[in-house]
Amino acid sequence: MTSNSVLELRRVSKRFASHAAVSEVSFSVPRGAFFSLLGPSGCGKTTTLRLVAGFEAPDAGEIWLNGSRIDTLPPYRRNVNTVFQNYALFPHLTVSGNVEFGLRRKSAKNGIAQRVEAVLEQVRMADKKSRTPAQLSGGERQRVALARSLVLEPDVLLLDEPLSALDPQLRKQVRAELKDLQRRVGVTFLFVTHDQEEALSLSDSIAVMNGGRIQQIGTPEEVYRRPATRFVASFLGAMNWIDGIGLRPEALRVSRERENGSHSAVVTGTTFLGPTMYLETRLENGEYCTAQIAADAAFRPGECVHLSWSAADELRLPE
Amino acid sequence: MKRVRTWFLAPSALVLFVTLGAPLAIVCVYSVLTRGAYGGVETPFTLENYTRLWDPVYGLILWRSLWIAALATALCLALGFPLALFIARSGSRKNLYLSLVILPFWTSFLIRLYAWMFLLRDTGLVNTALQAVGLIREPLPMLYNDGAVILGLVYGFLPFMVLPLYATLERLDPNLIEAAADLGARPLETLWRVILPLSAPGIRAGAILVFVPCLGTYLTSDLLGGSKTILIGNLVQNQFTAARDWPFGAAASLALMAVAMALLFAARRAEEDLL
Repeated sequence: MTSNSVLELRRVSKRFASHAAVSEVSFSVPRGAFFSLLGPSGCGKTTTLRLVAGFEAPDAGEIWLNGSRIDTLPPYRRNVNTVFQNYALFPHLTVSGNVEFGLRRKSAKNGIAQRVEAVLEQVRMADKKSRTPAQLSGGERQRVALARSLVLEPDVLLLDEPLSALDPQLRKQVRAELKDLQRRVGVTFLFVTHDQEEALSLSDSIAVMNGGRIQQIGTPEEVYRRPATRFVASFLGAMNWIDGIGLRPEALRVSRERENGSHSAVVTGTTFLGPTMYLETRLENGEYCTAQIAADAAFRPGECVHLSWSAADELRLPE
Repeated sequence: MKRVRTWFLAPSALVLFVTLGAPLAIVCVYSVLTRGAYGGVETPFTLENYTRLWDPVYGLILWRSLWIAALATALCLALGFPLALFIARSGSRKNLYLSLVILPFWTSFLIRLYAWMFLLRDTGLVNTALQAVGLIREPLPMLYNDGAVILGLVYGFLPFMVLPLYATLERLDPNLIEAAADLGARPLETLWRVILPLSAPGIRAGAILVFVPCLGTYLTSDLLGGSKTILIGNLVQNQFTAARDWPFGAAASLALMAVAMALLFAARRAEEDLL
């Protein structure tokens, strides 16, 4: 365990019946980091989170938290807390009742009220502390779920797709708030998501998972610019494959004039994206290729164009 | 749409009125009439049947009935809650276990009570077996006492506690139980602080479904109970049969109903104050 890491998984595996949910997963999360597990549904990211929380026991491997091994401890003896996808607020308790829940056994009675007040202030829910979960909006519930966990000062906060239950408009706003909160409080986040944009914009590090295995761990820029596998390249952003070489749509230049080494193609359609657009083309060898270019470029379907790119943008990846 | 709904409701409304409303009205009227010489009722109208109920003998009978019904309900809850929780959390086996719970209903309650008599009497299976292995010399008095009545009631009404409890526990979000553990609660604390409060509707329904029929029971106490002790249900039954005092039986049964409703009302108020 490196000195600055707070959580470490060593070759952790978990099977359900005949299905290997998590296979030999290893990673280490630095203290104070925003660490994301990213992958499609069924990739094992939520199972990994549940193994850390203690809701599942690993079949093999070790989990270390703050220098002690925790994988055999029950959830109530691990200093990690979970924000559930549906928030799992106790419906029979008020906002403060929910936040107090874990404090009741942890600290002396007299300090509780102030700590509840302080954490509710932090998530801007102090004025709604006597409401019940049924009287709150989705965003408010999420803030209560965060407060309920943060008040216990966990070594790692585990978040299971905490934004997926929110409206798309709200999601971007809450995303920014979440990042801001994490910076202010300084708590380590282990964040599970299937949304690549979310992972790229929030994380210090991302572990990309597929089929129960980790494909790559790196900063958002590393996994986007230097994907280790074809899966990572395709999962994070759009990707063209030309003669087995990967090219991001934004790496392609499109012109009406032939250039040295350029490929000719026929425009098959356009998709307007606001400031930019996708230009869908078909190469001479029949392969389709999408370029992301300025939205004011006036190419029409059926037009003949020439695609070029710099060698530095080419991605050569194993199958 | 509204008309269709009315027509759909009509048959059940009619059945309810005929089988519940009409007999109740008859009982009300009978309770203020005079007893006939060979059963039945005669005029004149009188309130004497109600004033007779104030005799301490009947108060004692009512008190004993309430006590036995309350104990049977508490035992049903204590036995039924773990069972319902177990069934609710046993995945694909739920239906199998549920059908086992309601399996006794396939046989008449009367026959099942006779089976208990066969087991519990002095020459019954239990005493014979205990004597055969030499644990006891004289048969244990297991039949014809309050214990046997409570056993019979708990046995007979346990499914009525388990089914509503199961219905609420089955709908309980498993994430809530995980969340409690995640926030540091040990299993017993989770039970006390999360599962029990959230299953209050099931507990309430189960308690009513067990307590009310236990309060008015006469078959179980008649067959398994002692001859010295009599419950309010047996009192009512007696008035309509051996004693041939229908008006008093009617008054006693209405008094029982009033007590049961008053208790339910009080329990509801107490619960509202608690929350």
